[in-house]
Amino acid sequence: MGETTLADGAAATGDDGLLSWENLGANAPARAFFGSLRDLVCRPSSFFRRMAVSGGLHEPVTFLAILIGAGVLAGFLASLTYFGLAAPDPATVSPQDYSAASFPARLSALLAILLPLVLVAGPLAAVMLGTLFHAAGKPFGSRNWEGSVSVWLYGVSAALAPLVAALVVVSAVSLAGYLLGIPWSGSRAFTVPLARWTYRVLCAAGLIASLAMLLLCTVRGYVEAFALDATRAAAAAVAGLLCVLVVVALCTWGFSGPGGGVGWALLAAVLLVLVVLTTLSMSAERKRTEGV
Amino acid sequence: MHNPETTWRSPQVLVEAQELTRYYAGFLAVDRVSFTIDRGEIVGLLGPNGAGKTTTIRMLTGFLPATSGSAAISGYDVHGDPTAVRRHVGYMPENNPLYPEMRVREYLGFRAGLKGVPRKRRNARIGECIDRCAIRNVSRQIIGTLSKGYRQRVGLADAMLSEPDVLILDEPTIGLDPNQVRDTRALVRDLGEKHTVLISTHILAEAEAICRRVLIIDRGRIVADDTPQALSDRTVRGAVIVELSGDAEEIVSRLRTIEDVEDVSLLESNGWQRVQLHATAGADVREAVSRLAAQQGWPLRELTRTRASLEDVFHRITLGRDEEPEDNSDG
Repeated sequence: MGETTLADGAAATGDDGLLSWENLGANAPARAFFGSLRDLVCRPSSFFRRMAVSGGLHEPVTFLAILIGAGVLAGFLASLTYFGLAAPDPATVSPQDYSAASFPARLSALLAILLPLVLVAGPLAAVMLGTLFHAAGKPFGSRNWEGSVSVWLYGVSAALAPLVAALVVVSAVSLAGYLLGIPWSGSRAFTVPLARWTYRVLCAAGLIASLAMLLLCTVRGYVEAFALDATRAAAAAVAGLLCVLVVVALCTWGFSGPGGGVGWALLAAVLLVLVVLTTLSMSAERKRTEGV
Repeated sequence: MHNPETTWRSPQVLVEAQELTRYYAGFLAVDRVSFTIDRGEIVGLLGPNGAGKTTTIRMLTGFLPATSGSAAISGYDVHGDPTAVRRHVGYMPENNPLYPEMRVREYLGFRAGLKGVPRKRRNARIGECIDRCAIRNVSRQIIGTLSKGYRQRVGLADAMLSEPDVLILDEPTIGLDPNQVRDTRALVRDLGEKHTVLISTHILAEAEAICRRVLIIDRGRIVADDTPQALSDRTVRGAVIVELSGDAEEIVSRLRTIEDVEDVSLLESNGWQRVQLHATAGADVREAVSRLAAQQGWPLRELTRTRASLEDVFHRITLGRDEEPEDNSDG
């Protein structure tokens, strides 16, 4: 009997067409995350073909939570460095203008401080909105709740990816400009406009790319996960996205339009409906899976 | 201490312990334990309380570091690659820790996620384990409301979830009623068809009923390693019961002359002489007895070999006492 070494015995197992993020038993988590993110952004068809449509939502929820966390931190870093470099002189602008200029930095700092809460509330809200997305797509062929919510969660993750990348670039440009300004104050003449241009262009481009990714991934997700034809998948995805958009807009309008009381009442009503809808969907999914 | 250069045996050997030693604050709990378990074996780890069974198992599964020595599961070093080892081992500890507030299926889903069962296969795998362990009727029940037997089954289903090469079960039938014990043993025997099983127990009948091989551990050392049959033959003198018709004294004296017979005693004398012979360990004197009876013209009514039970072997090995064998007929 020949002897083998430890390394021989520890040969890696094949991945059998499984998504590496959903097969963490055979893949290192960091490698699986970045590999799957690359697939999601660059090859969404292959990604959603390998995605599971049942088996729990731990993986897509965690995937989204990581991207939300990365987004919050990148946003905080970008707004802080940008504000550090390109903040207006308080002596030359009105207090209102100065406050408006510092608003992104203050908001992102608040989110960064509340990061643990954001990491729980963000994915939870995403799952509830995913239920709405599923309900709206059901007439067009969205077959099961877990599958639809997975498509939605990965779709939102894909949408966050370009935004995070844009914020990282903005941070890098602003930080470089800020650091260059320490030994050479004259550099501000071109670093500030460059940072401002980067901030505006990349954030806008990131936002547009995010919306495009969300639409593309949800459509591709429906096509691959439920084997729908492109038209039905597009109809399901657009219906779902519109529904989500209306609900989010309704909640936002409640606060900005009629005022605080109406806003809170609307938000509570929407949350109640979403919780009931999610509970019913989960129960139906359990019955379908367990056959009871 | 651990040697990263350790070379392990072929893939056929799934469990390998090399000189495993563990001290608890100066107390030697496990003393240079070495053994291997091949693919497809069901091996019993026997020993009295405090012999070092659980410590050995905990070192094998990576839950407890060894003071010295090394171990490997499926070719993965327990010290060097504990994550890979845990992927290849299904371990059911003695106290079978479960989350009592969770439902059975929910718990198995949670555990499957932790164990890295691919999401795509998770539901199917949970369903298989539920069916294999016959817990479908309680799969939606809260674990805290289950009987001990069902909890053991949930623990077994949990151990099987990741389709491990090796199942290590620490006292799986402790505290169960006789029916549950029988069911659990049958289940473990079934599991042996697909998995390599190491089962720790101090219930000897259990090891005899389930295991193809037993390791007896006493005061931290492996003192016997063989099949129950071979241990019985080798360790304790088996007895032969003979019932003959003839003069009692002559029968006893002539039987004493047979090679390998160490001791002859007359059990009953009422026309038929019932005699017990003790032969040296491993020797079978039945053929010689039969030949002698034919030569002497003694009518022979019974010629039975009684085999020592694993319990006798265990007593002999762990206490150094040779108990009178039970009447386990084998002739």
